[in-house]
Amino acid sequence: MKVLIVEDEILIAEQLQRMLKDIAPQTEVLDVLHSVKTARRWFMQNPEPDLLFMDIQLSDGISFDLFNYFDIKCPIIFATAYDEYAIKAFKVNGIDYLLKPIDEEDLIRALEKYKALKKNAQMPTELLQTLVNHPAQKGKLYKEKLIVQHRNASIPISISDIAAFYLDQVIYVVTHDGQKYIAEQNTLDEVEDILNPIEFFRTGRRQIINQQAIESYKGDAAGKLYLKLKTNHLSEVEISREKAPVFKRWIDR
Amino acid sequence: MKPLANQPNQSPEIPATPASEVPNYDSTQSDVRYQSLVSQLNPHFLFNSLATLESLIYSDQRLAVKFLSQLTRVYRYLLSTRSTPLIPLSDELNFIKDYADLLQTRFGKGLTVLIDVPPQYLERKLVPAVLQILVENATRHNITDPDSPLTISIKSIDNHLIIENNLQKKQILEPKRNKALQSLTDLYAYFSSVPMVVEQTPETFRVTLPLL
Repeated sequence: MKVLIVEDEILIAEQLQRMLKDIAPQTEVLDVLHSVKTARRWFMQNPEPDLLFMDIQLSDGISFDLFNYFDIKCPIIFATAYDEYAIKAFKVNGIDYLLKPIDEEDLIRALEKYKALKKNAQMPTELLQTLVNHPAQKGKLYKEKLIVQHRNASIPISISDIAAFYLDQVIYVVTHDGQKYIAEQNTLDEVEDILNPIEFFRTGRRQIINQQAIESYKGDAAGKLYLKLKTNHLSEVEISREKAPVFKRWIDR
Repeated sequence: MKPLANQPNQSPEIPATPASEVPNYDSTQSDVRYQSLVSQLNPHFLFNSLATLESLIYSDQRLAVKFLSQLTRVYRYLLSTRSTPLIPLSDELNFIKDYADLLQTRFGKGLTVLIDVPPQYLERKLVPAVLQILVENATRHNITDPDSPLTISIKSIDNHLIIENNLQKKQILEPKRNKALQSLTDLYAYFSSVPMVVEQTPETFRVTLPLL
């Protein structure tokens, strides 16, 4: 937890640091700032801390002034000698309000509040991260079997056996051992939707390939990629310059 | 007989209008007492001092003890002079040294208080805690940052005590409490035909008190 302290009285700031060290030894105090002026400079040059401890009346003005310059999003624990300005503090993402001299119990409770808040705030972020990385995942489980057609019969095959899908009027399913079937789906979008994006990659408008099926790949001067697959049904697959970096991130995990 | 409701609404409680609008001595003195108590018992001063003391207990026990003695003497002086109309300058200076020391321990290099009073003035009199009201006023309204320190000087010239500081106003939380100077001026009018004078230039703020 990276903490910034804005407190004009040096001795009081030192005491807060001592208490943090005792209560939350993993805390890293990034800086202790004693004025609105130095705080303004700090926020211009640094990313936000995880948590901000802030006095209100500082030696050169009022700390609320910072919010006129910066859109500070991190949680703030205000610490002041007298509790006249609590209401305003909570308007600017204050999560707690401590009175000086700071009571250890109060500080513990404030830090717990911060942790609870962080936990709640992180859940959507993590979820979002997952969705960004794997747009098709959406939290669902992927099918293990796929029904394919072969000579008017329906055959269940393991999805992990599939080397690639390719579109050529219908969607063909090619397995690692060289079998070729016809998929029931009408579009590659539908196919893509049921596959785990960690294992399968949509190389372009016409193919989806399994990572296991890739023998090698090389690039050309224009930035395109050419994949050589292990299956002879689909020996070479082209990846556009735009899609090449996405492919490289996918394969290099 | 006319109904009561049409009678002029005379209220017997309304007192006669005071003959003079000059505030009386007792109320002015109690105003000043009140101001000094308010500023002294100012919760920011008290709780910040206690927070400083807490820190010193860990980091510097000697200074903690000194700080505690000064804090004690400051409060004792204020309480013991509550009903004293005038006090020798020597007592007031001892008190203001303690008070200034407390502030300097807290603000570090952000505040300097200079006292330069020749011995011949030490038995002259003034209103108790007046210096504390003025010093507190200066620190409350001005920047006390090591980058731009506040310097308050207390000196005596020609039967007057001059309290002066460089003017560098800051934004403050409670600008409303500003009666202190007016109450002091009123009170001094009772003691002396020479008025207390408040002057302000773009760079300095100065209060001149007649030594009684």
